[in-house]
Amino acid sequence: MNEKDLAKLAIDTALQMGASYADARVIKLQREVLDVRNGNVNGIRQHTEMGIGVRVLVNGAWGFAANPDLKKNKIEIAVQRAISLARDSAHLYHAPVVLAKRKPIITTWKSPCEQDPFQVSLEEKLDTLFSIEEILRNTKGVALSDASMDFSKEWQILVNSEGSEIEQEIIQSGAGFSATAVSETDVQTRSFPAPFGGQFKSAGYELIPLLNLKENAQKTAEEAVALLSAPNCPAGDKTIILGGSQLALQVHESCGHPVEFDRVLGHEADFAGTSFLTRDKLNNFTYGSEIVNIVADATVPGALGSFGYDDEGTPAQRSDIIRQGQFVGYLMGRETAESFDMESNGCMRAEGWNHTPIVRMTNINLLPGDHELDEMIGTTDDGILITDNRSWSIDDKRLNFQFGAEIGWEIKKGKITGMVKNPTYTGTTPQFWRSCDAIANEKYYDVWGTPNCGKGQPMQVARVGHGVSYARFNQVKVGVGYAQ
Amino acid sequence: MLSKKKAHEILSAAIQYSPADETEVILNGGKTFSTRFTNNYISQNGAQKEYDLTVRVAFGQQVGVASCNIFDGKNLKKVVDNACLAAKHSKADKEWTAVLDPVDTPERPEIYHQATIDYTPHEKAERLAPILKASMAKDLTSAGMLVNGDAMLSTMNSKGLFAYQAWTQASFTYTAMAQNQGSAWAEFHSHNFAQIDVETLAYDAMEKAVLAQNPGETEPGAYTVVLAPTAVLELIEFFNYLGFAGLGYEENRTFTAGKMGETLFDSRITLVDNPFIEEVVGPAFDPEGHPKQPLTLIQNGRIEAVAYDRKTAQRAGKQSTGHGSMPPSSNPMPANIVLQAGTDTLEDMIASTERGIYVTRLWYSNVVDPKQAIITGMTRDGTFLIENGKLSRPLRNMRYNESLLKAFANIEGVGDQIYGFTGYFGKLAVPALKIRNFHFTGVSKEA
Repeated sequence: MNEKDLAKLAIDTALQMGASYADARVIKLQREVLDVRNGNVNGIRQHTEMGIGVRVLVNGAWGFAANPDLKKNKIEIAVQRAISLARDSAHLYHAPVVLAKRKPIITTWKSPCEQDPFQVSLEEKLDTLFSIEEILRNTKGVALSDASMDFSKEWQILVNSEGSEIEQEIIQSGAGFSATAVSETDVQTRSFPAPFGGQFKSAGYELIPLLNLKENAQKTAEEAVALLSAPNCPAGDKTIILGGSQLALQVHESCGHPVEFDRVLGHEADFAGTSFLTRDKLNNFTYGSEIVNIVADATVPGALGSFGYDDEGTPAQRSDIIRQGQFVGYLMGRETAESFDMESNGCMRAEGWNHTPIVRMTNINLLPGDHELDEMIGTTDDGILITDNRSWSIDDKRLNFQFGAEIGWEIKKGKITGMVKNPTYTGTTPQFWRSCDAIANEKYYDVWGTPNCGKGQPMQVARVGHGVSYARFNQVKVGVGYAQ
Repeated sequence: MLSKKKAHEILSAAIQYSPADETEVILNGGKTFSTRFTNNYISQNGAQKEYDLTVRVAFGQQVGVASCNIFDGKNLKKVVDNACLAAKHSKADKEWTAVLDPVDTPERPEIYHQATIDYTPHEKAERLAPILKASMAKDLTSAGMLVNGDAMLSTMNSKGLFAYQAWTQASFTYTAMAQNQGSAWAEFHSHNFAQIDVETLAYDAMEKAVLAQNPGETEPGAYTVVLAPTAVLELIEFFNYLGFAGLGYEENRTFTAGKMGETLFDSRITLVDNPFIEEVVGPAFDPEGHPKQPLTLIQNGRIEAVAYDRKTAQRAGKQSTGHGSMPPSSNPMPANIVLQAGTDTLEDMIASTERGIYVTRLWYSNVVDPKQAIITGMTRDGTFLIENGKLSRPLRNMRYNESLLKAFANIEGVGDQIYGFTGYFGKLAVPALKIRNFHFTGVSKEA
């Protein structure tokens, strides 16, 4: 039996055992991670895995079981277990789960990929990494030099009891580097193109040369060293201009998470938290200024949070979240959408075969405005330009946040006057976004991959994306992390 | 559970397949049964089973690592071949340490409780039913998760080393939510399900959630805080991460770098890493097969040690403390942490506070400055103003920014009992703490 037949077997078995709905996902994953550090191979790891996850509804309640063994008898055991768990769940439900309607789909989908990263030799990858790392290492004052690549290929067949059979293959690539300078009292790191592993996209090896890693190594390393002697970010209420991975994470934490409808319904109350964007606020709440437009868009070619179909079989789509500053949409799956008499907008995703799908971000994008960055800086009287994230923290309703970044650039009377270290800023989500008075144009726009979004119990890690350019915010409290 | 005999068979076969100069094979994984409830009903009920096989081979100093979750028949040979291929196409790892000579690491069967893994999802649902019914009757909303499962770690190398350990694990996390923003939290982790008093934890939290309704504000600033163990947990996680990783220490990135032997903290602060302590039990060896012994990190406020694996230890001219990571990672970190109990009861710590803040839980903390050990985060699920020795009124959640160097020097009281938890980097057991001059910098509110 092939994987599709095995998934169908799981569905048939579940229906025979009393399930009113069932879906099964068989997944095969291949991953390769390379890291070089301080002139040495720090690690090469190649990982392969496969397995099946079976989700069933019995008497209106969910059960889920996963097993790496794809033998017929083991799949039947997994289904029996899922059925049994659903019956136990049904013991205590208040109302049966109902899924928003969805027509069956039979199709295949592949993410764009010009050069399969698993067909590129390790030698070539290591040579590329060492050529970057050597520049960092040879920069005077750099204590730690690190460069890495990360590739994955996930093949999945999703079959459900409504007749859908969806086969997808998604190839993702990521790469980046960091340089760290250390003194007796200070540690400063600069990364490129983004911290925590670099930039990630749904793309093949063709991504790597496009990142211009080597070209940016020297400047990035020198900035790390210069930060040691740079002044601390001043404290006070200032204008800030955010860009790159910092603005991406700001969107992620203060917009992407609070619009997850399962949080609003309390499903994450024990772990990730709930949301200040309660149901009464939909179409009735000013989230940001009129220039703030945010969409959830899983259709962006090459973005990390893109796919053909979510893990319930709902087609990838683009939907408005914030339109001209007004809160107009949630991220939903079939169960959460039905509870609000709406349709899923395709946001149910699971980490691998071993987890049940939950509501997830796709690509949550702050649409570009019409400003030039120079103009935004030129019209800022007293501010800080902040681009690369170092630290993030936000409360369980996604209101009070504090971020730290690797580097800041002080702006006085329309000009950048110098580098500052340890920039931090804090705020409250709606007030912050309402203070947004300028967004840079499409020329500065890119979708930043966030490969490490944690949510759910047991914890799942999702790969999502955030399209941003630069955005300016007023009267923001900066320097708060060092204000003791 | 994958038995010792089966593990030995799989690991031996993998070693046999390897043509490398040196080979190390590690098996880890287990089963997890998680019953998750929200809005007073079971919303998710899952069974997961996964084992990973990791193979590290070395041809001279050329090292490769491959891993997989299917390792029967040809798949076993394939993962070994993949590791060999990676090694042959790699460059020399100049810091490669030869695999460990055989060493005796006795198995501890007492940390595998059969009753813990045998506790069925049906029994868990039966156990939760009266709690969730009571929650509804009290007009509360309950959310949480009741988990039982098992885990194992086994390692073998081409020099003949073999070690195996299996253990069970169970946990209960519980959030009770009342009207008007009142919420409370309870959490307990143990290798023995029977030790989790699910009912007491849940009913106590329900009472606290009612007390936490209609929270008000107090001005941000420096306060004396009484931190419940569920709040101390988060501070100790970051304290460990920023201070006691051997790699960071050798690279001068930790707050402990250059401070070995110095007294930085209150004399009541003693921090140990010890997988033999009941609340934080775990395997007494690392994935390299190196035995673990109790390691005192801080003794009465004085920095005593940091954790090493073999690679980091070799670089530093030290001995491994048995804190190796899964290959190819090398970032040794204590993973069975205990902050030793003191002599103060939680009630006494509150009663002796004229004005302060009681914190049930800290949430979403993160590093602001690694060398100064400044971290920030939020309070959550039950923050109260203390006035004249009593919890006087509930407070909105508050943001803190605090240097752990200062916080653990400003100790006013240490709780007389430790509680076990599972954190991001391993297991921890901590008491309640009372700390003076703890800095709050903001309040969570919509307008």
